[in-house]
Amino acid sequence: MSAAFVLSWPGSRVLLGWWRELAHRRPQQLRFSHLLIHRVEALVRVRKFHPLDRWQRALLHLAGTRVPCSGELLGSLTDLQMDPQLLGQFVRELTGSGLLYQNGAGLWQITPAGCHALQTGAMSTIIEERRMFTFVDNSALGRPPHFLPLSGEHPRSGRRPRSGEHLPPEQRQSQRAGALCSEDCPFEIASLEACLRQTLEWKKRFRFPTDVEALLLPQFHAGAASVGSIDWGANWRRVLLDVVEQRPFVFIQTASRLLGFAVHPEDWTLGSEPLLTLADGWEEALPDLAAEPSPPMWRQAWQSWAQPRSLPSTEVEACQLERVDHRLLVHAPPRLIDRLRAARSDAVKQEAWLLAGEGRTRTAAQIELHPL
Amino acid sequence: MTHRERHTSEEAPAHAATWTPPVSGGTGVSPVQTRDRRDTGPSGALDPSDLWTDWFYRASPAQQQEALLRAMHQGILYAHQLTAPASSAAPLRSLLSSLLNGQVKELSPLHPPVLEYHDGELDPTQREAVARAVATPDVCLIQGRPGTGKSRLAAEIILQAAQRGERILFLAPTTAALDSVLERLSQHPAVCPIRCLNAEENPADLPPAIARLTLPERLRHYRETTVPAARAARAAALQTLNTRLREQAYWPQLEIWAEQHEQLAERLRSLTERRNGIAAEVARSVFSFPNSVWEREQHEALESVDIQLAGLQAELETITAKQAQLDSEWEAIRPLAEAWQGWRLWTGVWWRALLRSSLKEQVHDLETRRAELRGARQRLEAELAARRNERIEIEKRYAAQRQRLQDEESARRRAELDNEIAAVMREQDALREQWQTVCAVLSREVVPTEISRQAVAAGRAAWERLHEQEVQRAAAAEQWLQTVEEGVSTLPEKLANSANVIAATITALPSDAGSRQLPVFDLLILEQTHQMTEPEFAAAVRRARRWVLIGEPAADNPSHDRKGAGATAPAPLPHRRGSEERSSRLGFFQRLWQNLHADPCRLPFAWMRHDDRLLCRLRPVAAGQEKWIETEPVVDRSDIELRILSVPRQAPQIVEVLFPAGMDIGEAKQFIFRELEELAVQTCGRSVCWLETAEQVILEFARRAESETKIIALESGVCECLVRLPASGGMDWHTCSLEFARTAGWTRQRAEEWIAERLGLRSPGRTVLLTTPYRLDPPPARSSNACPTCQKNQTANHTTNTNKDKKT
Repeated sequence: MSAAFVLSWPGSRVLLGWWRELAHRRPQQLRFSHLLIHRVEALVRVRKFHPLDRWQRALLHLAGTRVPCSGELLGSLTDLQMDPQLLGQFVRELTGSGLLYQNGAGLWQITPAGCHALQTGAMSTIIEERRMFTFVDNSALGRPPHFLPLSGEHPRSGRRPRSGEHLPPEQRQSQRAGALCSEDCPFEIASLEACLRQTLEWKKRFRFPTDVEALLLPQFHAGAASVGSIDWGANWRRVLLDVVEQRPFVFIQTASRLLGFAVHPEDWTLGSEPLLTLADGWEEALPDLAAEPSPPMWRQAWQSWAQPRSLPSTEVEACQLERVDHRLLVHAPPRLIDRLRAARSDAVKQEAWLLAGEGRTRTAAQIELHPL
Repeated sequence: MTHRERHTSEEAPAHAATWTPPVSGGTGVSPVQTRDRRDTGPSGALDPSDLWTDWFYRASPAQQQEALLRAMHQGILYAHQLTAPASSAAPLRSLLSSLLNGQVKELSPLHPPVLEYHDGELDPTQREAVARAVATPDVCLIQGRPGTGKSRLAAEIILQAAQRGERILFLAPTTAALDSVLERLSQHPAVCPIRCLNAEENPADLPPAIARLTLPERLRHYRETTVPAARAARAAALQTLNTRLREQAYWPQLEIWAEQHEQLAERLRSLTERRNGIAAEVARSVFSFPNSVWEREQHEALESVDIQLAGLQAELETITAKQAQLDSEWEAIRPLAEAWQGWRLWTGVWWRALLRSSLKEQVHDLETRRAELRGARQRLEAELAARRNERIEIEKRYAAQRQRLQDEESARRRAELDNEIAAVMREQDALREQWQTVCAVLSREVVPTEISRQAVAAGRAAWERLHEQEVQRAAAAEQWLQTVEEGVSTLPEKLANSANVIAATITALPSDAGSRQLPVFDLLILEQTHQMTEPEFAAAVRRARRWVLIGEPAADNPSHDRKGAGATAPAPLPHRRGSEERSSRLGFFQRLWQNLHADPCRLPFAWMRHDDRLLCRLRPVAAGQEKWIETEPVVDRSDIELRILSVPRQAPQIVEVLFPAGMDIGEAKQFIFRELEELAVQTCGRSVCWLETAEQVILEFARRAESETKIIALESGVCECLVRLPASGGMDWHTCSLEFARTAGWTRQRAEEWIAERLGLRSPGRTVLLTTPYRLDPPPARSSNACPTCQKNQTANHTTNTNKDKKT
């Protein structure tokens, strides 16, 4: 049985490198998160709008122009002097899309949908296709999954989490070894259904696709006990598939947006472009990013940073911590500062960073030493 | 968006847990479309948002079932619960490899639908072929010798698929094969085929019906016919519109004239009415004045006469009174007078009258007075009559005078009115003339029906409607012209995307300019597939989801060989050993056919007569192995001989069973089935066909001919139906079907498994064999156009004769 994966957190130099790499974006805060991502693949009904090509516009116009009372409808195609097979095919495209129909007299008439298409210059078709929707698992925060508009082809650097590894250590140990992850990080279909019911404003805010009209779920007969008793003919395509992955992200907060970057856990390199860009309302999706670690957490982080550097604990505890923007001002005793200077610590050059917080998210801060 | 994406709707495959992609259905409007995520183009690049579909296509049926069951219970499937799919290859390549390797078990059974055929002359086998080709979710093979109607079939398949909204790629190795099908489609409105040209082809060299299907010819027709027609239509529409616009100016004037006409008509009516009432009017107006001289004179004259009449009347009354008195006096003495004057001596009244002395004088006096009164009365009456007449005359004169005056006045007034009426009528005529002049310019549809404001309003409304229509028509014609003129450059692309049939030779497809833009097709139809190589085929099938392969059997098709004395061993079924060697010599089409087609002729069993005894051959005996055959009687049936092949270092096998003379074929078959657990079927059919009724499931090898039949019960609910045919190789009984009774619990699936287990025949329904020749072109080397039975007879006879010749 393989060992359970342990969440790893970036070191000071990595944090420094990220800050410098992202400096051009004027970040105000930097955070690091291990997010449990649900990439849910589902069959949805989508309304797509396609611009009418010139032929379709012209034929619809002709069909809508010749009014019934005159008896001169598009049914008399021969006056167009087009190849009958070619024109027939063009007409079939329009009838297939519900824009034209043939009335009882065998004449072609424009339908209301055709009139609308002519006015708008586009025709809509309803397509059933499989789409992928990305959700962040917020179960550890006591919240339902939230849609995340992750963009672009991100590297498949995520892993399927083992049982419970997304949970805090104290909860993780209580999980049965070898349990299926689906039991610990299930995805409720209702979360996706709720997104479909959201307002247009919400969808635009979180860039949820507005062309998705309905979620198509498998239809099971009541009491169906086996695969053979189900009409899988239409249903197999409706199966929802959830690819659960744990992915590290770096988030920076700018003046107006929250940007999220994918991280390669092997070498801690960042993706060149943000995978996630959210403006107002991002706290709804990632509430823990808005939470500032408490002073005890900063204290603990400071102690954790100091411990490997063999600094006297009394001097470390004597430091006064102050949080300003992205920095952690450490008012330290002069002797402590001297020690660090002697050790040529990055903290003296203001190149030291640490992480504070709990759960899946840590807030990064640059250590700035000040004599006490 | 492809044509398929516009017109495809999702349909349920026949059975669960198999990856049959949906078949597009319906004949027309189906706005709900399904995009198959395998539509990623020939490269087969995976769409990252459709991991499930990709996994499902690659997974084995067992893996699919497990996943579906888990999804049913959980509601959602998790990726880490999916085991690695059975096939790592791309789905299409995986399917092709599976078929070529004989792995046909994963193909779901095909149940062809009932169709309405465009070609009403297709025979039942051809119709079945069309239905299977249309309904197959993956592949369908149709094999037939030249002249069995394959081209006709291909045309029907194309029409059926086009009717379902599918895009068809039709390929053939040669242009002749291509064009023989396209000729049948060249005029059909349901298809819009594009015939791709080979690099060396020139449309001018093609038959006209084919040439017009090529892209250059379609473009030429477009440029030379459609565009000029659009220009002409635009010009005509504009001319009509201009003509209509010229009419616009007349309407205000027509309204004025209509109003004037109405006023004139009213005036005329009024004048006419007055004219008709002139007499009364004059009568009321002329002599209603009491102070007229003539009137006074009339009254005075009448008054004078009336006075005279009154006086005379008074006198007459006096005389009348006197007469009355005299009459009373006379009455008093009348009886006496009458008696005395009548000398009625015999009456007493006469004697009294005689005694009355004054009677005579009295009577004379009375008579005299009465006479005087009568005379006076007469004179008075005459006078009265004269005065009355005079009065009447006076009145007559008055009336005449009155009438004369009235008539004169009436005439005068009438004349005045007539002048007025005439003036009005002249005015009306002038107006009408102007009206007609203008109406002659207007079009017939808008001319007012009469000269009235209402009619003008109606005409104007009609004009405005027509004007609006013609404005729209002109706009539409303008837009259409603009469309066709600007569309010349984009028409090739539009054609490539819209045409529902692309026809090309194998070599033409990559070279034709339009083909570079070709998307994935719904159906690929390959003609003369037996002439294609496997790489060509592999390149072609990448372009479509479903394939229909049409070809001819190999010249030395082992399925034509028959078991018999001296005949070579028939090709074993795919699951039997030794098939690989033969398969490797076959083209890939024949290999596919061999793997997919359940040919009962490849069964090793043979029944024959051997010295008037029934002999059942269970397995072929290779040449040189006869020496290893040992004969052994059955323990409890010593009259039945078992012939056992005991080759050294091999397990002994029963290869033949010899039955005693007089043993019935049914009894012999039952013995074989019961004791040896073999289903020794010998049939003349070339394919199997499953039929289902309410009572039975039937596996039919050959159609039951109108000849003697025999039913043999094998096990519970299973019986074998034999039919007596002309003797072939000494054997006249052949199996035409196996029948499974539903009442015994048999289902189609169970029967299929039973057959697969005992005969190794598994028919996923992907093949159809055409055997009926409609044309001998070229004449076959062997009599392949004869019925299989006759063919076998001839082959057996040929073999027998050859052997005889050899012996000789």
